[in-house]
Amino acid sequence: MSSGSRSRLRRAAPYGGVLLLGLIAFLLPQVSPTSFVLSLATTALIYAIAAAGLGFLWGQSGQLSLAHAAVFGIGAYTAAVCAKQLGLSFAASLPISAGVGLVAGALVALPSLRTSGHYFVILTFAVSEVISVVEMRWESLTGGVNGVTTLPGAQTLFGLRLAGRADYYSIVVIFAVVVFLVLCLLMRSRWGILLRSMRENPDLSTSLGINVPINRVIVFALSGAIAALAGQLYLYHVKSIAPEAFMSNLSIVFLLVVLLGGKSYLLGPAAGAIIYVFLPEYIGLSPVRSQIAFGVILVVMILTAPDGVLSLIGRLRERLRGPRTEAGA
Amino acid sequence: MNPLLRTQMLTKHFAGIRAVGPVDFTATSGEIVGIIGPNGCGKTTFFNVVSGFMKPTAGQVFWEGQDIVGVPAHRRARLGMVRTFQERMVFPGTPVRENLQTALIQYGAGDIGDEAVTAALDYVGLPHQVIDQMAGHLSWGECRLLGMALGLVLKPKILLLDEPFAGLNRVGAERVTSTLRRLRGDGIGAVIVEHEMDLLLPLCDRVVVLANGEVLAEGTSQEILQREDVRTVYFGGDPVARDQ
Repeated sequence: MSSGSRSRLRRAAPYGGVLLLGLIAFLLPQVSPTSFVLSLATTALIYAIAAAGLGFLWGQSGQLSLAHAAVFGIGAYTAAVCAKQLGLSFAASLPISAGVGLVAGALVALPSLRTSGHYFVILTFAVSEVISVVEMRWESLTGGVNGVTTLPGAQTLFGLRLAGRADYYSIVVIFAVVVFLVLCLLMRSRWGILLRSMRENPDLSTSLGINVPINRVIVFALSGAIAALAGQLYLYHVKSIAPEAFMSNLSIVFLLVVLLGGKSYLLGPAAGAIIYVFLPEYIGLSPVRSQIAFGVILVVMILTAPDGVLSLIGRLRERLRGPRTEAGA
Repeated sequence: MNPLLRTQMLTKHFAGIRAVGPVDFTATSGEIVGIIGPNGCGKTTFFNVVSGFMKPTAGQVFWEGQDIVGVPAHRRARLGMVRTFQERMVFPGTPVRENLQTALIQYGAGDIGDEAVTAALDYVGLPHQVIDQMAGHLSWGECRLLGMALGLVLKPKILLLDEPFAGLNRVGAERVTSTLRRLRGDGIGAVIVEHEMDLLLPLCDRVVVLANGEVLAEGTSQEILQREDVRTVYFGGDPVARDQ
């Protein structure tokens, strides 16, 4: 094989990997068609999509947000308002939810024009709390603490029924594949290179002519659109939402999911979400015990594999390959 | 020749304490200007204000005759004024290839492949083998050269270099020196803040001495070396200077 073909193959491999995993996920209803497993898998995929937005934000641009769950909630509530008050279908609501998430993400990022680091993260936490209060108090729109219920009825998308457990799972798989392919494209684009430079050294990036604040706002907006899309998928999965579902502890869950899988890896959030959703169910942990277990897992992960479980694959591969001499040091 | 970069009564205060100024300064393309002075005399602050990383308290910065005080740092880079940093010179967590690709993208290069990257490595004398290494794993000297290469890829009109010889061994210093001589040959100007007099002075067309934030002296390297007041400030004859 020529070096050109090898290079093209190497470039195409991540896209092929996402499509292959998507195909495997698509076949799950044939292998394990129980409602319980499909419900868990749908939740895991929705969390994976939301966390992928956060993972891109954190892993690529180095920005951390504790308002991600709030934007996820904004997406869910926007979809609910579109369905109940405007009578819009799932498909018609999607661009609206994603658009509102895009704007919300950009608004969350605005303080980053004046501050950065820990102070900015605290600010995102404050924004998240404000959004939660608004969701609780704006009863005419959100239903207040009682929340809202949205039933998909007989709607279909891609010929699949939204109300069917297996069909809805397949719809979520399609969205997950599209989101991960888009993020893969962006990570490998020229913009992806600039984002990583900003993450590594914002001052040097500025001195090379990169408009760091504007790029931060754009990446937050993108992350917000993905979170809101996941929020709409969540609404149609659980059917009923209330503000307490989108408090800052859910942002911590998304952070945990990203950290578990590995923030630098495209599929890190997917791996993290599968572990987070399936592990407590399959080893039979109560919600309280699973929280303790994930606390312990988090501590162990940070100490032993801070780059997430996917980094262990790379480490294993290096160990099997044996020691190498570093060229040109 | 009209100066590319000019400052007029440029002043920077921190909490009422004057760090720089008022400073009148000029630099032009193809000229190497050294800025020297004892620690704390305001050299790096002057760089920060000129490059747009800090706002001046008073005074003006002109670029090709236009006042650029309100122009943000990233846009000054696009005008052709690129600076390097003393410590954080590279993007440590990404490979050398991606470091240089960042600069190539910012330059607007259509090709950011390995050929363009190795051409940038060649300019500063870095071996091609470093291309896949994480920039943070390079030696200090290699980081300095990579930092210069990042700036040079943008084909600046003037490069502002903050202590390019700091921490380098003889081989590293020679590489930096030869790169700087090449710059001048290519018509690129350089303003260099530096403490290593033996390395800096032979390179410079002109030297500016800062003391207490103000210009104490200006002239050729020979003229500066003969100035008694400069020697006093540098070698501690003046108790005021020694206390800075």
